[in-house]
Amino acid sequence: MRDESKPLLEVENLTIDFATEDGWFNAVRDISFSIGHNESMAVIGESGSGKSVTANAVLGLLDCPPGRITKGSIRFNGEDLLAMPVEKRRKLYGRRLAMVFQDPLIHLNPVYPIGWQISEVCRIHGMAKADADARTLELLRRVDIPHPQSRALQYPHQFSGGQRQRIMIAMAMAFAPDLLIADEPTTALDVTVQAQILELLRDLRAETGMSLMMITHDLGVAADIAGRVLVMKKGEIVERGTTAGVFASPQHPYTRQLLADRSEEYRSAKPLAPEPLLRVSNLDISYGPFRAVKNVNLCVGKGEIVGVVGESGSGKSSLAGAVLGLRDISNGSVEFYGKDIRKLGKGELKDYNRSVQAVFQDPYSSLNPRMTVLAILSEPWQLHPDVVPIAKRVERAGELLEMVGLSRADLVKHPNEFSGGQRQRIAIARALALKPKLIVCDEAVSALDMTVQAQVIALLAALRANLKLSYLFIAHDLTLVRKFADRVIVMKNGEVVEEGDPEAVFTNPSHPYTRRLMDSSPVPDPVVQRQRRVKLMVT
Amino acid sequence: MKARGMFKLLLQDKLALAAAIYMVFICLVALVGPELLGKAAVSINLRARNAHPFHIESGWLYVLGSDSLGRSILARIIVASRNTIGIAAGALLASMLVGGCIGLVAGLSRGALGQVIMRAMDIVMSFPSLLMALIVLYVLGPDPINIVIVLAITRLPVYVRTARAEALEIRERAFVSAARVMGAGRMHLAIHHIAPLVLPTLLVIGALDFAYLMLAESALSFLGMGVQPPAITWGLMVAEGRSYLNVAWWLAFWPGLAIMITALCANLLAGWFRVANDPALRASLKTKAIVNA
Repeated sequence: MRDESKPLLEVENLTIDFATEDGWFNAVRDISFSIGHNESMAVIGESGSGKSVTANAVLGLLDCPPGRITKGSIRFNGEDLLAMPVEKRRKLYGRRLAMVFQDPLIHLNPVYPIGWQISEVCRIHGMAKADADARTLELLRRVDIPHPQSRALQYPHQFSGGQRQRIMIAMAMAFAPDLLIADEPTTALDVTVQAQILELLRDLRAETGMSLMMITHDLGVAADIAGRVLVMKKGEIVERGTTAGVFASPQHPYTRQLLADRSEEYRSAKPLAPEPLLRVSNLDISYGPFRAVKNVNLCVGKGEIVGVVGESGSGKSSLAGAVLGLRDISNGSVEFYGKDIRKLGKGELKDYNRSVQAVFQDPYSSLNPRMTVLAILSEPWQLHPDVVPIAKRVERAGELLEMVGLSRADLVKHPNEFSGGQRQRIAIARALALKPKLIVCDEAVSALDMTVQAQVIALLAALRANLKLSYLFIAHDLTLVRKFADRVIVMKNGEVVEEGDPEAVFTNPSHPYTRRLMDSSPVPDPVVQRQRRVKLMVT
Repeated sequence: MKARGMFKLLLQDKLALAAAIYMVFICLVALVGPELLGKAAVSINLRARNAHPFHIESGWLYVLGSDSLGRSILARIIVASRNTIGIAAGALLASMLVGGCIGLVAGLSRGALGQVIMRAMDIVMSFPSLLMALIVLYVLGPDPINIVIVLAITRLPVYVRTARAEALEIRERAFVSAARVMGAGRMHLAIHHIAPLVLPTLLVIGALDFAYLMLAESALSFLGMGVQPPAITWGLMVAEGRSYLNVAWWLAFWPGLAIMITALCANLLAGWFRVANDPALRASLKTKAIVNA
């Protein structure tokens, strides 16, 4: 039945349109590609490039309307999926073709135990209950969930992000499919966990001989796992080839740009012995009995960028919250210009609120959806009316928008009319409205694509140079901080484990955790990545 | 500019437009109807007793039939509209406004106040609302203002709980944190960020409640503690016509129909308002038009 000479999946001249406010939008334009048996291919591109739409079309997950497939064919094992009756297609999905999604929390049902959910996949395809349960335990064991017997009875919220992704993978592997489509499976995970998931996928491929179509915007991930890559941009395939070939000599300017983004240097001349602006001493933050931040000391100088790096749960966001006055401080102090922020008088507190602003992670929730951009940018001036007189607010808001690379005409629009990167620019403009001295960036670029990330970082760097700003830059991306920060602090379990000049920390990490973080972060170079992987496995 | 944009959207949505026209019409009827037809609604015409609808031998006022005393149903419906709409809308606005505000306070307070409010609402909810209404009206007297107050109190928990739940969710969003970082106090957050996002939900519940309130008022009337005859409401007319359903169906049917259409239009308008006020939903409306084209 399996004809190894023919490709497993063949997509030909696929064209997909979406209805939008401004008419039909061409999301995928006339693309053709194929995946062979036992092959792993990565599809690289930023959001809006059509990579997820393509995967959804293959799996019949496209919402029609607003989507419609106007042209092309998708053949799996020689059979056209688009022309196939729905019943027959359903038999393939979950059995021969399976998918792993980005966010396992929203793709797992919160009210059923995970064991039930995995065995459901088996039962849907006609397996007897006892067999399905046995298979579930076997799968859980295979994806390294400890104590599968008892864990199978637990609910999704009782697992960590990495474990949830393992459960999703177990589900997809229920029938040992011929093709696994993974849509950004590690994007929401910490680097060390990401490394483990990629390792698991690689092992599973070696065991079952399945093919993998990995959708990612992370070039490091692609270099790590794929033998072949497709680069997509605006619905078209702009480059294809073996991973080694494409990464070594990218042909298309877009691919070159993608590969270049990572290596750019943003640091300007470093201020010598900066005057201290913010000083955090012996900071403790507890949530009930849980100590999220333990005895943290740090200092941000005038015009300095301090990067705080750590995985989820390291306490870095709690630290940001304390500096911003959003979290209660259990012990220790946060001082601004030498004054404890908890002991400020009313007028002084107002000054502090003006001087310290924030940019948050999620560009979709950081702007009020009901307000126009003008209202969003004027809000700070409503609270601090003396900064800009009412008559000049429209003018000043326009200037702010231009400063962050948007246009004055955008003032009347609502947030839903902007992309993630543009929204983050608006959030930065809002943070600048009060002419602050310090901006706390809490994972401010983590939710953005790599090219957009680079643009926003470049913007932040330019603003720092022009406006003499300081940043407390919180991130989980090490490479980013390395290129951007003047000083870096590595946090783990609420404690500072390492601190110093970024180049020094990265070239010669003294703490084992820092080293592990760096080794886990994949490099966009297939050759180097293979060597690193071997090294990581040995250690 | 904003009002004009909203009006344009209304023109595009045919159903909502029809609902809006009906609502304007019924409000006009409620305003001037009792003055014009007050006499006709109570004048007894024994020769036209129990007249069937759609016969106008006794005049056009009898087009919807008449009751056992020969009073015109049409005139009575028109006259009753003022009391009906007035009581239902009054109770609705009062419970929505007060309940919404209390809910916001409960949602934004991190201390004991929120808990106190919610437990108080639990008490109101656990008390049989009709029983409470009867007791209060017995003590205060069945005056329309008192009926409005009593009905408003029985509906209060719905709005408090909804407003609080939404406020709890919204206050965790990043734009609220951003405003707090700028130094925004609770008042500013409530007015500028939370209330505008809570309002559409309350409106939709309110539209559903509108019909409920019209009927709740009739239940009170049925028990003798609502609007007192000779004053009339649609609910009271339905209650009175109930016993004649097998011989004179039109007594209960027409006022019932009036309640239904009014409630339906209130719902349609609330749905339209929700869409018109949400930029994202407005955009999806345009998308839909493109798919259909």
